[in-house]
Amino acid sequence: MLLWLLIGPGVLVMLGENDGPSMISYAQTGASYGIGFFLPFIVLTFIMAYIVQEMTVRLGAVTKLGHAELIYMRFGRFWGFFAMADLVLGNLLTLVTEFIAVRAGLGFFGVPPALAVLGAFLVVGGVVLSRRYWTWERITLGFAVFNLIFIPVAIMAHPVSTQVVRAFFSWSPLPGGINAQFVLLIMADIGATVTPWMLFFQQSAVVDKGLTAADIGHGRLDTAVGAVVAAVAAVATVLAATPLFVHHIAASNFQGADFAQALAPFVGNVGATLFAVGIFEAGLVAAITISSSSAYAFGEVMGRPHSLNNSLREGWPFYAALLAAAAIAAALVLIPNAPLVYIVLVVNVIATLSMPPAIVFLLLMVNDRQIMGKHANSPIENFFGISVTVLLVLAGLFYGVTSIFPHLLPT
Amino acid sequence: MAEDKPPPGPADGEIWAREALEPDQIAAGKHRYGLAPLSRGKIVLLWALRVYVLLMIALIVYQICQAMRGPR
Repeated sequence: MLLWLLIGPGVLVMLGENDGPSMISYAQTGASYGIGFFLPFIVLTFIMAYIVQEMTVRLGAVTKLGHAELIYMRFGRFWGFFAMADLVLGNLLTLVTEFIAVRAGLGFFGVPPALAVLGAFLVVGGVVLSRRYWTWERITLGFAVFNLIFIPVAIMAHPVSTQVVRAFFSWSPLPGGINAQFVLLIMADIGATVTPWMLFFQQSAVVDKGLTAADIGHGRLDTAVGAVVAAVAAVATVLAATPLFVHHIAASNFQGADFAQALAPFVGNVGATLFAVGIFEAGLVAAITISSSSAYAFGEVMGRPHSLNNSLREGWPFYAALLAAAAIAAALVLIPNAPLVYIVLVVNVIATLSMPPAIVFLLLMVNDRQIMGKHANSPIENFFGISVTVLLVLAGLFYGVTSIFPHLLPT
Repeated sequence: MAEDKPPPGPADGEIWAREALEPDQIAAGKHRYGLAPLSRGKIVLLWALRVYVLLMIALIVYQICQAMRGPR
């Protein structure tokens, strides 16, 4: 009962990050590599996500300050500006991809793009204007449960269980070895799980929910439950798309609805329909959480009231920022001939590349004993946190070097 | 173990959660912290990561331009 009451930010942030581009990345992974290396790798990325997000729980619960306002308070406006610039750019691009996912998912059912995007925007507005964090959180959690819809689709794809088990133990096979597509999917799958908006969102949501230092244990459990559920949904998406790999169907330019249509012969119309619903849901939930993340950061930095518990009169700048972020992204999706495909392709890569500075700010704050006291990082927590940072930097450098010198990779 | 009151139902739980959590949501109760001292090493690290991000974004913009130009 207590867990049900205290669960929320952790589950929301993890399922929120299983968003439109993430599910498309996982589907691309399944279609390109089948059952093998990427299954345990995706689980590893969720372990990394737990390590990072657990620190935001402690920061929020102990300081009762959002991520953006704490960065501004402790590092000043100069460094705070950079952190915000990363967040604003990343959030806007990601929000655009969420509306692309909504459009693609509903497109499977013949819903016109403008109607799909407008409908999603109205849902985001309707949920936000519930004007109480608790109500907002429960409605969004209700939507987020549909992320599990990929599990029945995976079952309908009839994956060979022995291959799945072997992949988790051996991290193989890796068809084609290390090539440009492998590097891109590595970056996309990391960016599908560990991104800057998650830090800002969960810390602010922990504060808005009212968790205190006494609730850190429940916050950890909430985050762990979210990571496990989201990892299961992610792995299920890879498995659901595996028939495309087995039957050699090229999926490199697929969007959400294309995957659903291509999978229909293998998972049936019901499976294809569930897949399209899953893509739509992933985009919708992330549109709600990411626009909230932008609005929290805006309110924190501008010193304005920034809570979903504020009345419309009191918190109008917060609500206006939230709805404006969603409206701008929704409008961009409807611009004729906008390069939406390129945005979807690079948004997770940008998330991975902009993550190291965000984690360093996080590590500096969570090691700050003046604000964290006994809840500051332990040596083992620092080891894991620094390991994640180093891994992300190395992945980024590897991506950069192999992009500039593609001949270093086998074709 | 006998109890005087039945366990709270979902509606009771929601009311309890609001009453328990919302006092901690009051912004006025927040502590204001001053600037943290940044050592030279930390400043170098932050600048290095800033340069890293800018270089990587430039690389991505270049790749997008290349991809949009595409094979003709």
